[in-house]
Amino acid sequence: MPEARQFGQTGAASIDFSAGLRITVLALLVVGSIVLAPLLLDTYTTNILIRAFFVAIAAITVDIVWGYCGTLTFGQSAFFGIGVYALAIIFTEYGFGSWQALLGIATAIIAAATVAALTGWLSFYPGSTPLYASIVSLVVPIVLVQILYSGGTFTGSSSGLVGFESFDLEVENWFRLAGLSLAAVATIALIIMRSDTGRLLKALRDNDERCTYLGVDTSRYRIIVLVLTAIVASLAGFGYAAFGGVAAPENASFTFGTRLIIMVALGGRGTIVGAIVGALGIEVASAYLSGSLPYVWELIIGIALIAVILAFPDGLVGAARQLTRGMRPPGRSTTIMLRPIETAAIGGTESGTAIEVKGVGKHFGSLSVLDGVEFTAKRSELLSLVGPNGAGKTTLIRCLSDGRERSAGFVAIGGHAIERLSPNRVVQFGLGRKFQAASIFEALTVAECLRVARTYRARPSLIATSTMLDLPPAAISVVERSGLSERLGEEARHLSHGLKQALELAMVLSLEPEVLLLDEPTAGLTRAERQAFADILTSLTARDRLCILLVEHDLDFVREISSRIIVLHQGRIALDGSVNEVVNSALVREIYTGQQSTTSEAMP
Amino acid sequence: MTDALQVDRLSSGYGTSEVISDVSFKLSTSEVLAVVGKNGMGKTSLLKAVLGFLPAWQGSVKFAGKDVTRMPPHLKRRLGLIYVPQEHALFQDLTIRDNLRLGLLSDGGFETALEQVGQWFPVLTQRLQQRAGTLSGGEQKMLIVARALMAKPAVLLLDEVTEGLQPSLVDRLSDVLTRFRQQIGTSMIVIEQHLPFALGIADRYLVFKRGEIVDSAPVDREAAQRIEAHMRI
Amino acid sequence: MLTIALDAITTAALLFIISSGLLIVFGVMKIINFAHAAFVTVGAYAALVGARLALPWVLILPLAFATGAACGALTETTIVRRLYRRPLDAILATWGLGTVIGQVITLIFGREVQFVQAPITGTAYFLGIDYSAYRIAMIAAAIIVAVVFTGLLNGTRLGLSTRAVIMNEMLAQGLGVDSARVRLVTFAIGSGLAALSGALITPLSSVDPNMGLPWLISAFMLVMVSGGSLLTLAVSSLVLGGLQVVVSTFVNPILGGLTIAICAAVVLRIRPEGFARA
Repeated sequence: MPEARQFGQTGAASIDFSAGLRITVLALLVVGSIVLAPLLLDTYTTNILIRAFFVAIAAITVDIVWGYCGTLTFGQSAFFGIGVYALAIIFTEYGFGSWQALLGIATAIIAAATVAALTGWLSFYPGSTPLYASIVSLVVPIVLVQILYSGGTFTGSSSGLVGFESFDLEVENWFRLAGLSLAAVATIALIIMRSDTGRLLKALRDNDERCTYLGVDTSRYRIIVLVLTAIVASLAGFGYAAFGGVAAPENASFTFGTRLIIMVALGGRGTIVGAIVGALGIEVASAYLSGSLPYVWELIIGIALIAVILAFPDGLVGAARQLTRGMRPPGRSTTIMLRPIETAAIGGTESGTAIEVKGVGKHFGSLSVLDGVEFTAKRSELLSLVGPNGAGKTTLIRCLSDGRERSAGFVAIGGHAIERLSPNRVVQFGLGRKFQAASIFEALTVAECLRVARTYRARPSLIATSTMLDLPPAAISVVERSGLSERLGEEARHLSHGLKQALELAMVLSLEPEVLLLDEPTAGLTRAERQAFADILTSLTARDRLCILLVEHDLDFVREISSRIIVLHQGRIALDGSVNEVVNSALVREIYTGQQSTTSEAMP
Repeated sequence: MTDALQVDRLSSGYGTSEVISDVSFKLSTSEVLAVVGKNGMGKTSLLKAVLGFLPAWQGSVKFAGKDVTRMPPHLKRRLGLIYVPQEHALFQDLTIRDNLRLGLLSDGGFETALEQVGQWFPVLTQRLQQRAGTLSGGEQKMLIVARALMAKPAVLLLDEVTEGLQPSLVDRLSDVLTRFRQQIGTSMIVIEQHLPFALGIADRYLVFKRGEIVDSAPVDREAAQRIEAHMRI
Repeated sequence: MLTIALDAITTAALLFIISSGLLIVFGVMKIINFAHAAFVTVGAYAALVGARLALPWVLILPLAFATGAACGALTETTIVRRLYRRPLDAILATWGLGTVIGQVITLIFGREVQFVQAPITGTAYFLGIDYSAYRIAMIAAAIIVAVVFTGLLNGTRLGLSTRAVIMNEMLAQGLGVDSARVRLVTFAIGSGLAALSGALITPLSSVDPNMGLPWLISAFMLVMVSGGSLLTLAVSSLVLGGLQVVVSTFVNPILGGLTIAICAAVVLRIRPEGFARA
């Protein structure tokens, strides 16, 4: 069993205990208050709070989709409305009873899930933009409301449904039911959002492209999140209607949907707690103020929204956290242990073909960026791709990693043809791509970035944060040599440029790739950093038998470490040979220094 | 006489990555300065920092004695600092005529300027209504240069202007630029991979490596050799 | 039959005028202005005020435009300018502004539905049938707007600068274009157009603080489908607007109201960049 190496602050045992104690005490306080409150509050307030609790559950789902996953959604209200009307319609049509209640719940869940799946399919696909997803989320509640309007007596049209018999609970017990449901949903949401899965969702929001190139099917994750949150919102709506005894189209409208967004924005997005604070605050204040100052209250909310977005994007909870930051110890005190995994015996034959490129071309209309590119590369080769600006190097890298990119030709990675597959599938063939500008997750810590990078290889936990991170030896090596091992708890945005590059490399190596594509990795590095990098690359080819394709401008660097150089010029391969051949070639000198050439291909 | 351009200890970069460090040089009126160096060394970033497209973390840029370090790019253009970028230098969907119009600050005097363009590059004035995106690479370069010269620049910043041009055109460009500098006193910074062209019109050269100036000297007969030593693969 | 066709064309005309302002803003600034609907309402209420003051319509229309443009300029300088790098937040902030404007209007004018008399009443004999004269005038208005707009964009120096900023802002700046000013002017004109369309709608429907809202979604979707070209916008307005009228008449008016949104959503799913280059 490989020895686990421990990094980060020690003293984990004692911290866990006190954290566990704090959480237990907090839980008892919350549950206790919910159980006891109805005895102290007047009926009016209790009523308002019950409604507010259900709305807060819906707000939590909005926070998950927007604050954590990054989709500005106006449409969660549609799912809330589905729950409301599921109950109202069934109780109106069939009366009240246990099978009707079960049917209602089942309908609420299934209808919400179906609509969410459809919405998700429409909004999230490779190449979709956040703006488009927002627009779709706007359309869904509008469509739903129109359907309700045209439903005649079945849906109650614009007046809604009223007067159906519902669960017979005392107000105090409704309070406890709603309050505990909210507490339960909040707890589960907090647990999941703090777990590795929650980190992955934040990573999706931060840098969708990086996730795709880590082998994660980002669309699928987003759709799943949407479906699950839709079900929760629908059940919240069910409860809301069960208590209130009224179903109105407003419950499903996009006005309500924007109201939920406002609650999350004001309370603080991406915190769960912020959604609760915002929802309870606005619901209670609305109930008390909109009676006495009807239009002014709405005005205040509108102004508050603008002010928050301009000045305090993190909302109330976010601002509070900023203020208390000074009082808490810096960094996150977690102990992370990195454990090297036994990588499988290097599969494939000794002379495995890692990259195969035949007749690849890329055109934009009549403009040809790449033409007739053809080469193969084996494992343990370190192949440098050089050429003047505009020669097509980055385009070639894109054509190797994204099956949809090239206009013509054939590409195979590790023996698998990439056809027209999207990058997350190509990565699964054993490809790792490192971008020119360090593409990492700025809002996550170093350890969390590495954990997300392992998503494809090791499914992230839904409830826990790993304390043990299994990484391939190559990745651990990079983490240690660069000094990242001392900074696992630091947020990635605070790292220097060189460290960000090292982190990205470690993340890509965590994929256990067979082929590594590097786009100008030494740009902006100091001399020492470049040397360290060269050593790492050399050992990757020698020890781990990776095939590395490196795009570089620094020809000194290239000369030191490559086993082979391909020179690209005006979209074609000008030369493909050993270091010596290329370095001494007259053609290459001509390409780089622009000496007059008798066979100039310059355009007239 | 004040220098046309004076750059003092300029440092700049993207995000956390420093791309130019502590760069200082002067450009006199009518002087041509060649900036050479291998790709990716920061030459384009230098121009961008001078113009204000990249923030100046440190140091200053003075234009005819006036501190313009924090001045936004469009105002620098109005002072006569004209930029010929290496990439995305044309509006592909606009006609040749419209692209040229944007070379001047207003439409006044356009027809006169257009005549001049016709003398330098007749092919352009023959096809004014053609969309710039349909031109060949060399013709596009001609258009970009013509647009820059129309503005009668005080300081002209050229980034790889000969890329993709055939030799005869490179010679013509050389002539036009030399005449400009004699007649109007335009100073130039010329970033070039094409050494004969660069050394043919420059008075001095700078070798740029990894964001820093590593060599600076007047252009003489040995200049080409010295530069090649820096660029050797 | 012809009536339906004319209804389709007048609906398309109205959609075009409302959407063109949104299109220009989106093209130059790459954000969707959610307060656009509120500016439509502002224009409607400006027309209401003008009508109450018994101003001639020749004055009411420019008054509405100017009011909208002023609101737009104020919005750009105070809010939108700071959210340049946060487009989703810009949508939210402009939505907030929209509700604020709606509430202010309600506070000043009250919530009730109001009516404005059309400047041209009665029917006109047009292409063989009697059709609302005002609606026909609207078609003329849409054509005038399209012509003036295109003329501004293609014929003036400012239009050239604007087109340059739309295509490549950095290059435009390097050529001396004050892109901040272009953005301001564009936003003001776009908002002015919204207000103008609001004024034009008033005789056809009622005036209330939330009247702009239904148009917002349709305008939105049309802008996205058009991918940035005024011509494509005109065509999309005709096609989708016509479809809306047909569905409303033959199937269900409520479904008709949804036609544009649904069709556009599906179209964009298949072809995300819209149809500018079709």
